[in-house]
Amino acid sequence: MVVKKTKNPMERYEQDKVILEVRKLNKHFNIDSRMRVAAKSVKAVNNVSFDIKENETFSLVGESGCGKSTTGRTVLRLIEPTSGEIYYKGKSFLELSGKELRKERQNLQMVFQDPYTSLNPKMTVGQIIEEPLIIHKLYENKQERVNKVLEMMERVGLRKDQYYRYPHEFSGGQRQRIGLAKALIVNPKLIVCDEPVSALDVSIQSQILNLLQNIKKEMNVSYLFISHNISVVRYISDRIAVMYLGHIVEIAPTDELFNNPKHPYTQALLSAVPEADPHLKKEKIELKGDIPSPIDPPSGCPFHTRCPKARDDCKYAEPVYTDINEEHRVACLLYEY
Amino acid sequence: MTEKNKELLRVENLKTTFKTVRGTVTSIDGVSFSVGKGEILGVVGESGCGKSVTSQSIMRLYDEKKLVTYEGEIFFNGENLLEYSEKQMRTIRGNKIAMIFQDALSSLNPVFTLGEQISEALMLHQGMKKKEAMVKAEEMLRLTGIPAPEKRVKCYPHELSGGMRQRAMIAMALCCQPELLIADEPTTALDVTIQAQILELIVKLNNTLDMGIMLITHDLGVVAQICQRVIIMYLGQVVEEGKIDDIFDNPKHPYTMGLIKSIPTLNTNRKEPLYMIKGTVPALGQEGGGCRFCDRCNYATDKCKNTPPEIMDIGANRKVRCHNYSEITKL
Repeated sequence: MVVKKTKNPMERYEQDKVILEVRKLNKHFNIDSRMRVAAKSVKAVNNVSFDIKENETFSLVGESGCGKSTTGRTVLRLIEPTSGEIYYKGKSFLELSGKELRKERQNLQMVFQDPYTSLNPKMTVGQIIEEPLIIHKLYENKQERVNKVLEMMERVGLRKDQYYRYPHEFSGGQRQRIGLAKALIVNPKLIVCDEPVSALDVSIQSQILNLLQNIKKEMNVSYLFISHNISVVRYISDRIAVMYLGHIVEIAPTDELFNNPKHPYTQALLSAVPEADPHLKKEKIELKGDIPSPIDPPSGCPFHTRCPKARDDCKYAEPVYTDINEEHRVACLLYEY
Repeated sequence: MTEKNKELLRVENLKTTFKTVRGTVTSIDGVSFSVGKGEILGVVGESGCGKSVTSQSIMRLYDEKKLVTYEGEIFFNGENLLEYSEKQMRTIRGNKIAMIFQDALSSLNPVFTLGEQISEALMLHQGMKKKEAMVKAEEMLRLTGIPAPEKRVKCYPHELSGGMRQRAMIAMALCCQPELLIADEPTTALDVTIQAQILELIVKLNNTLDMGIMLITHDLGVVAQICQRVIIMYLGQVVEEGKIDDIFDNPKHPYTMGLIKSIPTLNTNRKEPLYMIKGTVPALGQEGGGCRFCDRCNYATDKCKNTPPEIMDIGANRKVRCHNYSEITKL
């Protein structure tokens, strides 16, 4: 367990600089709710626990449908969790409502994957970036707000003369800069980046990744970075959690995870990344079959249907976390003693 | 020349021009390359560089009466496809040259079962009876590694997962034993572990069926793992061509160098910033009079701004479109 029982969230914030703590988060979407019987549910997020420290990049990586985006959205309460606890700076985030929630949301912002649909097409870039300042009533007069917007535009690499332009006049990379400016303008402490570079071309992707890195250094923010691209995640993260079918199967600092992957799924995932080096023909661990449906997940270990190392007991026993070392945990029966 | 290296497809100076409301746009301009029998050629480039237009021009899928004009030559087995009539083209499409697309869900017909869709091509091109074609369809699905193919032939596309749909597309493309397979971003919409399965399948089929493959992708990792040769495209032109090892070890064009350097790999130093190609890809029709890459190139000279470079043969099966390639060794 990440969460040491001896410390409460407030102590963890004050002593260990944990700004976001997530404990046993669950999100199940009911289907067929018209029938008034929750016959089935999509178990999108199951017992997910992690924490993010100040000025840290924490990544969730996994394949489509593994629950990484749902986790990110639940953390911001864009989706309400089914159960679990979320602490921001040691205080329970789930107990907030109304004005208090809105006030706290200033510190938790989001950057979306699709820069084409996440910006309002009828607003100018200036208006889009200014809007959060109006909502949070951060500056009294218009001139101060405009100055702040222009400063932020310059910070993310947009030109001041683009203030009156509309989103459709920009390329994908530029739009992602607008989205980032909009998130940054209220001085957040944590930004959830949901696949921020997946829709971008290779040459633009590196520009945005470098920008994210610089902003982290200069503005002292933390990122919850969500991506399926393992090379990108490796480059940008301090710590990584690997998700499979709504579960975190392994969690470790970046170098540790890549040098010493323990979970069979992590091992297969890392081996499947096509390397841009023709001399490197690595041994691929081929996974059979497809990802099972989260409506009807396998019993026991969720990965046992595809696991090359599965034993008989994997079908029945649900694995609990085993500590490999202080920061490296894995949910796999092979490592339980 | 051995049978293996025999030329299957040769594109010479292909130029595809579209009519639009704002005048004509030359989407690809003077593209030349070839694909050998049994060879996997990678076509790499960013969005809008013309890689898909190239492949669809080879198949002549655009509306020629209203929309598009082709110039140049496309030789397939020695015959110029651009001189073929529409009727002749129909004997080529799906029969001699097959194509698979990125998005398998929107490329498959939602109201027909997989069996019906695969057997359609067999009945049309090979003159099979329906029953016979259905048996063959099941066999093709088995070849692509779909579990329980006898059940899957009766499935509709929405009942399958993304990886299985892509396998079904491959089965459909391969059922007439094409000599050339054009794969347009076949794994882009798939997850990494599923992508690994599909790439393995493509390589296996390339070995057993000995067909040429033109693999279009933006992912240099995929190219490095399965292709033998590669062409790099930028803004409607081929900027570099060569064997896979040569291109990755010793890229000559500054765009290729930048592209290879700017992707994070599993060996990138995380402490250093990533390499960035400055600026963005200009829109078609906005390129200046000189080299199309010169605005983003750190080595651009006055010559680059005024004279467009020709693609040059620099020996050892390599071509590069750059005035200064011999001086630029490192970014």
